[in-house]
Amino acid sequence: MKKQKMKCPFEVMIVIVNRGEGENVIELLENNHINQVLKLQGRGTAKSEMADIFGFGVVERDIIACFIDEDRSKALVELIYTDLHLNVEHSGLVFTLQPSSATLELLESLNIEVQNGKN
Amino acid sequence: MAKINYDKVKEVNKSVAKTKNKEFDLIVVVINRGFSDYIVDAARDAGASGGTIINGRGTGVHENDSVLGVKIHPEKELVLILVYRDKRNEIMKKICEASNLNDEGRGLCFSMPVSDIAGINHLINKNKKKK
Repeated sequence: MKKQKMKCPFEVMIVIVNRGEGENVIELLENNHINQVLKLQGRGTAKSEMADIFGFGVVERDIIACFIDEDRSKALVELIYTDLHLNVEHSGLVFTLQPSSATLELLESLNIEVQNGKN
Repeated sequence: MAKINYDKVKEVNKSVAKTKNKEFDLIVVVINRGFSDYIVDAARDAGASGGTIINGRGTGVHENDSVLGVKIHPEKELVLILVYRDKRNEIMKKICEASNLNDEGRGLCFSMPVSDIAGINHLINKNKKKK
């Protein structure tokens, strides 16, 4: 019998924005009922060598990671893109990754129904 | 603050699906602290536009050194680089060469497919100009 490959019904969303903007992202996510959010601080790398010379070659960044169900991911990506004006160059980016597996508790916390491990 | 209009989610899904870009990968490099610049430079040389660096701490088999009985977990850096899928292998190869990732305990590098992406207009525009 052919084994059926199960797909994780949620995605990991990562938002990388300038330092300080992270709070706006978290607020937007909370307004959309996403309360489990991880915020990290990192740094980006500027493109120009002149920027390196003048000492602003490194840009402080906020990195926000969260889990989101598959059905809403595209809509939320678009919402973050428009609401945080990510169309402006180097202002930030948002992307989603597809995980290959997850614990039962995580699925339950995301309100994803699990029926005998088939979902 | 904006909220998703659930009635329009299906429509939005359709519109994003049209622009859905399946050609991006995320390269993740875990390296000893201080080496991230070499990684980013190597990635840029191979065609990447830049990266994001996060600080971390390692707990691998090569990080079990101890001083006076106190274990030391060396500081690490995570480098996240978004790249076009067709350039991925070349960039990863350059990164491995630049930081000798093939030697034990140096670090590691892997890539993941990106499902949806937004905010990389500059990359897309640059690519269009080249074409």
